[in-house]
This record gives sequence, C-alpha cells and structure tokens, in this order.
Amino acid sequence: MDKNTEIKIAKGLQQSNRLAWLQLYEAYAEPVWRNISRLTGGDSAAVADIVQETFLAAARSARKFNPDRGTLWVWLWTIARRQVALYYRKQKPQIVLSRARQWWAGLDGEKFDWIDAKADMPPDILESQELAVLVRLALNELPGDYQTLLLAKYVDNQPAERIAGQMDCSETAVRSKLARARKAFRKAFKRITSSASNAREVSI
Amino acid sequence: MTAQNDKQMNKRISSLLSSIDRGTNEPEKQLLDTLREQSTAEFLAHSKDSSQKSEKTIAISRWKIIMKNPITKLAAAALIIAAVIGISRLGDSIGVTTVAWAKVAQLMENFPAHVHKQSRIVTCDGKKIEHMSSDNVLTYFLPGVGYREDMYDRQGNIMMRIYGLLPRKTSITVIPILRQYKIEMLSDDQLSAFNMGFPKIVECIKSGDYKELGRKVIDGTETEGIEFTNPFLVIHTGYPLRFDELLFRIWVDVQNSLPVYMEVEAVSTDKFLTLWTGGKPLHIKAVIEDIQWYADIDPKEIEPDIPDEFTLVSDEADGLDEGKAIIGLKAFAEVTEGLYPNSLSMSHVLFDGSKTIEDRLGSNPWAGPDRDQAETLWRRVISVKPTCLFYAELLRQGKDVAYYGDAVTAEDADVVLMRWRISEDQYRVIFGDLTAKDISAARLAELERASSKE
Repeated sequence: MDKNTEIKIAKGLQQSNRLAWLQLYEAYAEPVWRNISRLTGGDSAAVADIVQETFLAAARSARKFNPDRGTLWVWLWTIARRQVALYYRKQKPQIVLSRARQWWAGLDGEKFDWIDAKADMPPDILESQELAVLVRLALNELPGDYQTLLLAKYVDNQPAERIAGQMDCSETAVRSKLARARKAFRKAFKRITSSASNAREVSI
Repeated sequence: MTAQNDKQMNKRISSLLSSIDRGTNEPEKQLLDTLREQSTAEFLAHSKDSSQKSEKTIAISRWKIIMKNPITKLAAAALIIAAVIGISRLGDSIGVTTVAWAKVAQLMENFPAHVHKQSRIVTCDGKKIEHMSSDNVLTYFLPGVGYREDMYDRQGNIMMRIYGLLPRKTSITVIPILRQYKIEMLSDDQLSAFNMGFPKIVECIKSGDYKELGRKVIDGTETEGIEFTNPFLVIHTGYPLRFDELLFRIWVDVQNSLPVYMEVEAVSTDKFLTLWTGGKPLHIKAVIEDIQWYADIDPKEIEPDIPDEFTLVSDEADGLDEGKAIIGLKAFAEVTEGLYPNSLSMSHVLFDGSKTIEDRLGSNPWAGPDRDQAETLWRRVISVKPTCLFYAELLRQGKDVAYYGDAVTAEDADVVLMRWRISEDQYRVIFGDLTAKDISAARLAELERASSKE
C-alpha cells in the first residue's frame, strides 16, 4: 500500500468512514488470513476464528489508530499476533512440541548449520511436519515486525522495496532489520529445540 | 559475504521458513465476505457510539463462521442453547484456563463485603491535577448498607470522604479541608450510575466480550487478566461522571479466582471535571489493589460521621428559601409524629431520622419488606436539607438566627421554633405549627421569655 493511500485510510478510520474500513479490509484480509494460517497450521476452523477475532478487535479500535505508532499493517498484525498467541496458549502445544523436539534430537547431520543457512537441509527434513511445528513455534516467539519481515521476504518473496512500504521504513532499514530478524529466529529455534535432554543452547 | 553466498543463504532460509506453508489453507472467500460485512458493522457501531457494542453482530458472526465448519455443525444445537442463556464464551473460557471466569462473574454479581485501595492519577495536557489525584483511596463496601470512600493526600491527611448510602439512595460528601459537606438524594438514574460498574463487567464476562491478557505475577500472586473496552461509561463518585473512553482490566488469582488487581484508563470531557481544566479533556488512570474480599466491616463504619462545626453546602440555588425550609420541617415532623430536628445540623438530622425510622420499622428496614416505606420516610427526613441550608445562610449573614427544635413540637402553635432578624426591630418567626409571621423585637423577647419559663 502506498503512503498516500495509507494516510487516506488512516484519516478515514479516525473519521468513522465506512469506505476507509472496507479499503483496509480489502487490502489486508487475505494477507492476514495467510499469515495466521502459516503460524497456526492447517486447522481451517481455528484460522477462520482467529481471523475473525482479529478483524472484529481491529474494527472496535480502528477509530483510535495512530499512524505515528506504525503502519496499518503493523497495527493490524499486532492484533493478529496477539490472537495467535492466545490460540497457542489455549492449545497447550507442549505435546506436539515435545514430539517435534524428539524428532529433531534424533536427526543426524549438521543441524545448526542448516538453521544458520550454512548448509542445505535435506529435502525429506524440509518436508516433515515436525520441522514446520518447530519453525512455527520459533516464529511465534518473535516480535511482530520480525515475523512480518521474515514471512514477507522468505515466504511471500516480496521485494525489499514493497516490504519497506509496508513497514514505513527505507530499504536499507529493511535489510538491517532482516539480519536481526534472522538472528532472532535462529536463536528462538535453537532455544525451542534445546530439549529436556539438556542440550546446550548455542549462542550465535 | 559474497553475493553468491548471500543468494544461497536466502534460498536456504526461504526453504526452511516456507516449511510452514505446507498444509495451510488459502483464504476462504465466502467466510471473508461474511466477515467483511460483520467487521464493517462492528466498525460503524463503535465509531458512532463507543458505548454501544454490537453484541448482536458479534454473536451472529460467530455462529455463521462456526456453522461453516462441518465438525462444529454437530455441536451447534448445544452451543446455541448455551448462547441463549448467555454463557457460550464463558463456558469456553472455563474449559481452557485455570481461572474460573464464571466464579469471577458470580462474585462480582453478588459483590460481597470488601475493602480495597485505589490510586488515581488525573492529568490534563500531560500535567497531573493534584487535587483530583490520590495515591491512597480506601473504599469499604458492605452489601445492604453502602460504601465509604476515604481519599487521603500524600501526607496521609484525609482530603475527602464519600458515604454512599445506597439503599437510602443518598450520597454524602465530606470535605474536611473546607469543613464542608454535601448531601444528595439520588434519582433512580443516579443510583443506576452507582451500579454501572460491576454489573456491566459481569455482563461482559458472561458474553465473553473481552480480550484475554494472559498471565502476570502481581505482588507474588499468579494472576490471569482480561480487558474490556468501554464496558461502562458512567460511574458515580458523589456525581455521575461520564467518560468518553474507558478501558478496564481485571487480574484474577489463578488459585482461587478472586480479583486481586483492577486497572482503569479513561478519558473524560464531563463538564463537572473539565470545569477545572477550561474544558480540556482529562485522562484518568486508576488502580484498585489490596482487595480484601469478604472483609468483616462494621455497619457503623458506613454511617455518616460529620463534625458539628462543618457547614452544609449545596450546588442548588436554595440557600434562602423560607418556603422550602418550612416544607422540610413539616416533612420531618410527619416522620417523627410532631417532633422537629433537635438541631439544624444535617448530621444530627440524619442520625435522628435513621433512628426514628428504625424505631418505627425495625432495624435495617432498607433491606426488608418495608424498604419502600423506609425510603419514603427517608426522603422526608432528607427534605430538611433546605432548612439546614437556610439556617446556615442566615447564620453566615449574621441575622441573629435561633432555632429551638429540641424544645418545640408541632403542638406548640404559639411557641417560637425559629426566628431571624429582618430589620433593625423586626424579626421573622416560624412557630411550632409552622406558621410564619413578622413580629417586633419586643414581642419576640416576650415570646421567648414565656417559652423559657415553660
């Protein structure tokens, strides 16, 4: 979304303009759905519920949206992220996590090189459900802007210029933030996979 | 890092992160179309009047999405029954957290005796308004009796005390620093404003119309919190204060489901408050903590205790209205079967009036079957307020006022009940039968001499 449209929508929301809300919804309903689906897995009813809670909560507070505190996407994703966190707390993912950790612990190979992107991960591991669980949980531990950056860059393959627009920052800032986001992700992933077998957390 | 390496790293990270894309669902167009309408309605409802939440819209939307899912269709009938009795989300919450929100709702609905501490910070344009802020407000609440709120300054001196005699529909505000107090009979609207807080919170908990805040350790207690936006927009602190926005958070002990900490953030443009700020909005932050549920509170703690030397003040323009003063005395005499207040100090009037009503109807008639009659009698007692204001004003103006209610009854037709000077040698007199006339100073002296001999 370009800057002018963003400003126009923000002003419209503050003035209770129905069209502004519809514009916001059209622009972000599908991206929000996709990202929530990625972070929660394949339960379509749960995704629908979280998306619904997100937009209803956003609708309730849209009038108070403050552009000085971030873009519309950042605001909306902050709400979505909170709903995803609530979903995880209700789901109690310990059993799934424990299984995925065991799976990870049983793998042979240079696991941390894979996570550090220093070596290619074997295709069968990349396609496993357990890896997806671990990646999801690691992403969920990250701040909203890091989630947004990593998903936009590496899953949606968006160019830096578009991400910069969405985050209201320069392309240089996007690159710099991406480096920090990757580091935070690796750290979170390693923390999650440090299982009950007292695996030492590797600092990176 | 070379460009080649950079590209390879990006590819590896992309492969890793894209693992979460497998098995995910594409957006469901039909559901998103429905949600567009529902969220737009929600947006408009909250934009037009932030106190009006479209609960109906939310409830309908939830059903529509649930019904899309074939698995939940089977449970729909049961869920609809739950929704009809208003516990659908409440039941849901009970199932997934350790806090029994049903128990919290029940507690707040019954609202047992308790004591709590409150701190308030009131600001305007970022600056603290000292006389409205306090780090220490203690509230004692006793069901069937009312509450007392003591507001202290930083040095621990009491700034204000408010008695909310709810069954008697009466609010009394005592301001020691000004040596003044105010008494108000509350209309039904005002009384409902007293009750706007917790019943509304109960409604919100039951409807599930809140945001979950997760867990937090507060003073060593593990709590779980929820947040409400604009659950109510009026509260009564001796006056029904209106808020434009209000955020209410409640943190509950996960062990026993008792609220331990509540937070309020509000913005108000109520004229009663903005009177002090030239019309600018006020921002209020308040915290309620140190809550002692089921506290053993002596009802006497809620009974007004107003020093004799304090002056009754009023917002109403009835300071010098002889007619109202006489009506007040008449109303009081009807309750007491011909007796007048011993003195025109409102604190004495309240004490005498309460005692008379309890003598007639039994102790604590406010909660029993005679409460309507008790309320009618109490209104008559409170009618003496203009008489007290009248007396206080004459006293302030140096009109040589005297009152003999401790010795004169309604049967003493020709005896002076009250008098005040209206000119150099003329007095206005209200007699025991509540007739009033102007008499000379000499005649007054005769009448008073005769009375004192009796």
